[in-house]
Amino acid sequence: MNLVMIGINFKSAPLEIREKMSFKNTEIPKMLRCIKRLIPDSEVVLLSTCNRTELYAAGPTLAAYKDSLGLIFARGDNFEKYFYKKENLEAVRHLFAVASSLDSMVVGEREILGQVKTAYTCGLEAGTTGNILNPLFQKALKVAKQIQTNTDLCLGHISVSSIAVDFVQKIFTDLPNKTAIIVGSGETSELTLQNLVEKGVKKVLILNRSADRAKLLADKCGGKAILFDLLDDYLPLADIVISSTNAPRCVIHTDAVRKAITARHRRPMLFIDIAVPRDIEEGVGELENVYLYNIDDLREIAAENLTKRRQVLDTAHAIIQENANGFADRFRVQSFGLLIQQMEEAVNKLKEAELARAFSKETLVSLPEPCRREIETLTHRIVNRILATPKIAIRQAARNGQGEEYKKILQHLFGFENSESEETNDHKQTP
Amino acid sequence: MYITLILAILAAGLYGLASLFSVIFFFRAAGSGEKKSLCLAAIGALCLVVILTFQAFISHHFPIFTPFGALVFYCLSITVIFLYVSIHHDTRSLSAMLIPYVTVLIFVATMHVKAGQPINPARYSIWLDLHVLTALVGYALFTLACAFAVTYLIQDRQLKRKHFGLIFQKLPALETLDKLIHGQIVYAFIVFTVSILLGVVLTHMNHWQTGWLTDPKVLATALTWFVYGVLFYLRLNADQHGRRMAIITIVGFICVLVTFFGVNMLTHSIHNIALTDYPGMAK
Repeated sequence: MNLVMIGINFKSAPLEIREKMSFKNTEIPKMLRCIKRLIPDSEVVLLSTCNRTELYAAGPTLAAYKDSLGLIFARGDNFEKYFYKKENLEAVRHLFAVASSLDSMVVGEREILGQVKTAYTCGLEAGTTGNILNPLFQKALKVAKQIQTNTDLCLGHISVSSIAVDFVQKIFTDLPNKTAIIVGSGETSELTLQNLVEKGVKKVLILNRSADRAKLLADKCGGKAILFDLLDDYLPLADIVISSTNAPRCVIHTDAVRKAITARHRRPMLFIDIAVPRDIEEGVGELENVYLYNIDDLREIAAENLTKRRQVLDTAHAIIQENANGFADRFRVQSFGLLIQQMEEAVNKLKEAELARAFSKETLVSLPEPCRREIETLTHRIVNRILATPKIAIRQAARNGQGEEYKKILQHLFGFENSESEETNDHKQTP
Repeated sequence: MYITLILAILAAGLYGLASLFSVIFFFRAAGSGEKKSLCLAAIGALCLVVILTFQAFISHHFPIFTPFGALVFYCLSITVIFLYVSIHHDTRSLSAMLIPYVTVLIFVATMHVKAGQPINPARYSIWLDLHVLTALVGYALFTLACAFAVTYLIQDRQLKRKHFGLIFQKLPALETLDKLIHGQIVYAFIVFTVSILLGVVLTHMNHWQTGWLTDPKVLATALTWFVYGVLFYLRLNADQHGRRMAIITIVGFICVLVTFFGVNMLTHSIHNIALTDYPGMAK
């Protein structure tokens, strides 16, 4: 198959190296064309996300450039020790796992599929994909979709902030018209707020005992800082309340929420209490149309989702294995098509030469045209009949994994090995 | 009659298959089974259209005055409105509740296939057609409102009890359901009110005496209208939302069931024989 993958990801390299190795969208086509110029018969696709940068290259002469490919990929830097390299079937399996998010930092996240698709489209537009990478990436996208559809891998989030946003989306749909109140500050609440803003929440009110911190966070997310003491007055406006203060006692009381929900005409309210000790009285959750979740609830769901994902990992890996083997088999048979073609060309060349020699002889030179044609057809039929059985045997051997043995024998018998090595030498001299 | 029966059995079969698909795929994490279920239901609805057209062609009036015709039209209305809602909102998962309900009704209707009942031409008018049609469309809208209300209560329960399994994932958001309940109630209440007004007009046109005022169907209709009237007021004027509104919607639908099915089955109403004869009517 002559497929090589060189990559760097969150497992193999620290963030600062990944940052240096990442490519901007505008840089990717340039890099692809640069490699294509250096190795003209190659196919390349570059996948660059915040957690990984991977180069997929394929081509008949790639083996000769294996070492220099790493240097080109690193743009001259010496990051080889952070790289991982995979070839042929292993590279196919890796790409399928990446596209299916089995190799992601958060297993089951869906964004990677889009990123793989974008990387492939970029290669396609740059004209650096071909007979190997086109079917490979199309298959990878199909396998990823198959895993998403047939397994529970992508169901349920495993980070506290994403689970909180899940709740928001199961209660509210018109997020741009919803108001979120953030009481106190903390990493998780900031992350949750960030997720909410990304999902479309536009009205954000920040309440903090420190006016400066409230202002800082408000500026960051385009919200409004409010005095902490006005919390009860602002509660009726809130559809979503995320609380994470360091207060030793509850700051949101049942009575205040009861009044708020009446003032809101019983429109639902969602409270997410990330603080330890708790910020919101337990009674709040018992009120009608009020939904309260604390950090333990969110962590419990995260753990459940993680367990579920681990359970389906085996199924997902089995799907990948099956598809990778299928792809490799199909490809092996296809690659032997080239050998068969070479064999046919060699025999036909021989046939043409012998026919020409025979027809130039004195005894046959005056042969009428229909007779000549008949002889040509006859030789053509003989050649085809001779080649038919070996062709079937080669294809069968390719399917059974014995292709390489047959390939060597045929190359030796027909003398293809010399021409192949000459071809490789030619390419090496080109750059 | 045989053509109608064959078509009804075909429609029942299609709806049965759609129910099976919708229920099976409701309990699966992913897949396009719900789409297939809705497609089958749509084809079933087409069969119902053919049945009604065929019956109208034979009897020369809109065939909704028999239990079979009324049920077929009611089921058709539910399917069409639900398909429309499902195109605009993510409510496909509700097919697991609505399609089986419609299927059961179509099976019941199939058992009541009869040749068209003769209609007293003196009693029949276009206003009577409109009266029954609007009532049936109103019932269909109330049915959908009830389905959304039940779903609202299920999703509310999942959220309150912190059950975040497949049902939680599959059902729509509370806000979507709240809006849909409201939407159905507004249209249903308007259509149902029009139906009642048409009924009043008909009593005057036919010079009926006041006997109809104590008719069980009229009383049940008045109760249904009152319940939905309260709901209409609470939502439109008092801007109320949430669980209680869903519960009142379900109560309203129980009244609809009594009005539509219960009265016909348990009591003797002028609506059962209005097209033929009624002792209290002026002739």
